[in-house]
Amino acid sequence: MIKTNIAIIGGGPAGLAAAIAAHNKGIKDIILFERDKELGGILNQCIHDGFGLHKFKTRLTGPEYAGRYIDEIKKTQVDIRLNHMVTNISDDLAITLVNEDRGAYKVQAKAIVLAMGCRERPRGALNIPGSRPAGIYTAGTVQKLVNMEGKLPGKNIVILGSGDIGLIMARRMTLEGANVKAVCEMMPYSSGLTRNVVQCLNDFNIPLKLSHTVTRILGDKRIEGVEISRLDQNLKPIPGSEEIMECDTLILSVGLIPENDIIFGVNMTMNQFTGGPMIDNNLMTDKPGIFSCGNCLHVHDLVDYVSEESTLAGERAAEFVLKEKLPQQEKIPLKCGENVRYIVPGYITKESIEPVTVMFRVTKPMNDCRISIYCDDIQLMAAKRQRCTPGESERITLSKERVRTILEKGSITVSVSE
Amino acid sequence: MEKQIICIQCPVGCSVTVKHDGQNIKGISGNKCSKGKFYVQSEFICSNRVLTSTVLCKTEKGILPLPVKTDGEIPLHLLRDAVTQLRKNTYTAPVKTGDKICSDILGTGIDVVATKDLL
Repeated sequence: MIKTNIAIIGGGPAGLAAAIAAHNKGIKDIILFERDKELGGILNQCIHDGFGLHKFKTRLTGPEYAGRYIDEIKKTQVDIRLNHMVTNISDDLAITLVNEDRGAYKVQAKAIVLAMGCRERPRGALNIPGSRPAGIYTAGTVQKLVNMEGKLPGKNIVILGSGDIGLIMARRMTLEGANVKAVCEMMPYSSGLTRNVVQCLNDFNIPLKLSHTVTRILGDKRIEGVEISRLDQNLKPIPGSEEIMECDTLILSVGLIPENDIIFGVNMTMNQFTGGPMIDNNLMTDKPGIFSCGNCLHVHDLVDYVSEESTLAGERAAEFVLKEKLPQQEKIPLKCGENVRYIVPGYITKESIEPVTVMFRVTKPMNDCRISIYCDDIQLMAAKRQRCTPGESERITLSKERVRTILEKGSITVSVSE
Repeated sequence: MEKQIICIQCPVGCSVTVKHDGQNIKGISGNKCSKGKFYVQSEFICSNRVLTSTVLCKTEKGILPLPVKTDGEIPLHLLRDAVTQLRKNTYTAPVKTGDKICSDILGTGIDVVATKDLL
């Protein structure tokens, strides 16, 4: 069996940053597996700009952002294996792969960095009544068709869900000559960034119908229209509010799900709110040697944060390999308090001496809010925010001193109040 | 007269009110920082946007879309025309990131450049 120090699963922004960071820490024997024919992951189809504002202090498009990391990794000795699909990871860190030329084979790693990204929630997960005609796509599929294959999937379009990719495709398809009739969002607020609502919808007078959803799909061979209904406070369709909107295409932008199928055979704890594994502040899962970063850990808003997090994961994976094996560490769990849906990382290890950045999402939009971090009943720190929404994750960095206090007290809770 | 402009300089998304007489700004309120003031000032005069799109490019593997962007902001009302203009030509690989695809698009003084290497 082929042996390697570190195996990186995925060649998107997370995998690229992790591989480069591990290499820079002195690990030369690294293999990166990517199932696509090129590196860059989802950035390749995100031709819009706005990437890199934090990381590079300039606005880049997706391919440009990926290009910077691809140029960097090509200067390293990282063994890049394209067209390689990982099908399984075993409990002893053996990876099973398939490749057209090499067939199926196994690689034994000392450490693994999971960087598989996420997938889109499909129609099947929504239970919309109606037949199953052609013309229903997820936003990412449309993005790939338009931006990478040069194909426009339809002319009269309704978008369900106000996720960022859906908003961006509304603008893109409008500029390509399609008629985007409306974006329907089930919640009373948009799940996409304000910037995207303004520049992708308002700029082109595309209506954003909040508290509306698609309640029926019309058409047999090809979709011919959708029935839209207004929703009440309990998200139930209001009888009598139905409206038929003719269209030849329905685009779904209704959420992303971390893609972790290949680790289901590994004995590790998952976080039911993020869909990713539970990790400590070293990005390590509770399976020693397996690290997770990027959108397979939890869905991020900005690629800049993915790169930052994945760099840390790569460094920690390198340290793990260099020290051979870390002792089973004692961990303090981070608890979600009032109005907090999830927090990443899930634990802080007892040995931590460095600052820890925590990312979390709130459960509902709030104005003039206060983020509070408690140890038992003692308030450790507080921060003000003018606005928090579920669509935009929050970040707080805990200083060394605060981390020390948390470890002494043995507890931490993050809550947000209005 | 009043115009509402949502500031997009940061995630707060202030709803800024611009008081004006049709031509000149008479007052700005609702912005929580100075970035918002500058943003609505320029937004009020003329909305400018970076355009990202694709053009067709002849490669060894056939004709593929090449991602491009304007190398600066152009007026919002010119976006559609710019896309139409770019669609008129087919380009030829190899193209490197940053290569100029079109000079001075629609007389804006802004160039259109490739955002990906295509061999």
